[in-house]
Amino acid sequence: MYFKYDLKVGFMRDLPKLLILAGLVLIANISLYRNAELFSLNLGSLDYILYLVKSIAPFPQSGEEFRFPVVWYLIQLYLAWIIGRYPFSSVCESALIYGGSRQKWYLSKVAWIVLTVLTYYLVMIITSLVFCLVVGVPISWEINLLELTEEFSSVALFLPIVTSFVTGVFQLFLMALTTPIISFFLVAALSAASTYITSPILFTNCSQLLKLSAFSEVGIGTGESYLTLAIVFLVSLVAGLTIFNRRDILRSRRDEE
Amino acid sequence: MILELQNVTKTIKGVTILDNITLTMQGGKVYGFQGKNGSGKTMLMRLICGLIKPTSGQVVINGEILGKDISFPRSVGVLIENPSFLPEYTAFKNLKLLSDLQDHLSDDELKAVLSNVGLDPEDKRKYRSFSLGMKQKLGIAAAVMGEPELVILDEPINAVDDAGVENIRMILSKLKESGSLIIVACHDREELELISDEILKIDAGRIVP
Repeated sequence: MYFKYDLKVGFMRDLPKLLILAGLVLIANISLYRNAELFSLNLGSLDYILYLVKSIAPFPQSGEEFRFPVVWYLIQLYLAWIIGRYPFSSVCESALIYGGSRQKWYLSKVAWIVLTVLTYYLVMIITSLVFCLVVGVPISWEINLLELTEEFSSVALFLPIVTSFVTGVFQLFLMALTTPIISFFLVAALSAASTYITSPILFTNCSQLLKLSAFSEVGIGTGESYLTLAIVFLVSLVAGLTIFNRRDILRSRRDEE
Repeated sequence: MILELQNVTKTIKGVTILDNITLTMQGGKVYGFQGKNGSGKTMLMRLICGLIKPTSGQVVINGEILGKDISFPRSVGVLIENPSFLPEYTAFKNLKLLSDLQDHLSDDELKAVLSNVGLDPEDKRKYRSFSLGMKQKLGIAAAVMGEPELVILDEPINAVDDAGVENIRMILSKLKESGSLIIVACHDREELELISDEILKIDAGRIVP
């Protein structure tokens, strides 16, 4: 019952906000298109999609200069903002009592995060494909933008989506522990730190393709990434449920305004 | 419906908000809570509806311990502090959304609840354009829809006009007759005396004689 509510209130109402994401993706696509023309790169549609989540190679292990991955970071930050806004809003508090169960309420928010993340990435993919169709970039599933290592497996390509989902569940746990605004800044800090430090402990590394062994000799293994994400997901879910079950729900001053 | 507070104490950041409250309330009655701002009325209401947990003691509703056997009372309607609804929805749509979370009420039943509190069920205006009084009436409609066994109303007549207050009196009287346990906190002592069967004075987190 909670999920139906979350679908209507947390998901459908927020769909227009994804237009901002589409705009962001479009700017990134145009930037890549210009570079591709400038350097005569032969890119296909999949390259345009992967460009959004490629980030940068492990620093300093790769020997490459550190350049902050603005596109990847903004995409992750906007997702964290969308996820942080809804679950603990005052509107959701009324629904909590009427639905009758703290656990079901929490699990419904996890399901809402799955749906939100999937839709978020779908918007990124569709926007890039439309862009490619409009400017005449071939619709192809070949990867030319990134160099593949011997460890490459197509399973690695799903890591950004899985990582975003796990980050969302982690953020929900942080919201239960602290406040939505603090949790947003913690996730923003975690994401920023993971651009600089390559370690599976900073699990948002797993959503940056160039930091994975599939695309970098010194990157994090795909199996290791999935294992880390599974652990973070389980710990966040259990800890979040436990904390939310015990937590006092006091309306914040912000909600009163 | 029997609601028992057994030695309930609530401490937040070292401050005792509710202090060893023991109380039994039963269905078919209206209990009025009277007290100054900060006396603990709202906290007590949040505790009874399961939003906050007692530091010690327990709340038992029909033999089930709140927070242990059940997260929230099984049949409850709540209006605590400012009601929160979706600003871009009409009164009817807001009510329907909440009703879908509980036992599904028919559209006709929801419209009847809105009429009873003095709102036009066919009103197409969005919640964001409601006056304070209309918002409050919608909050009361949400709390009483489906005739819950336990109704908790914090300052229900705030910003409500005289006709609206009369409607609220009638609704509470009807709910009482159907066996609901009603808890009301109100600044207006006269109004509280008018609608309550029993008045409980709360001061510094304690029930005082």
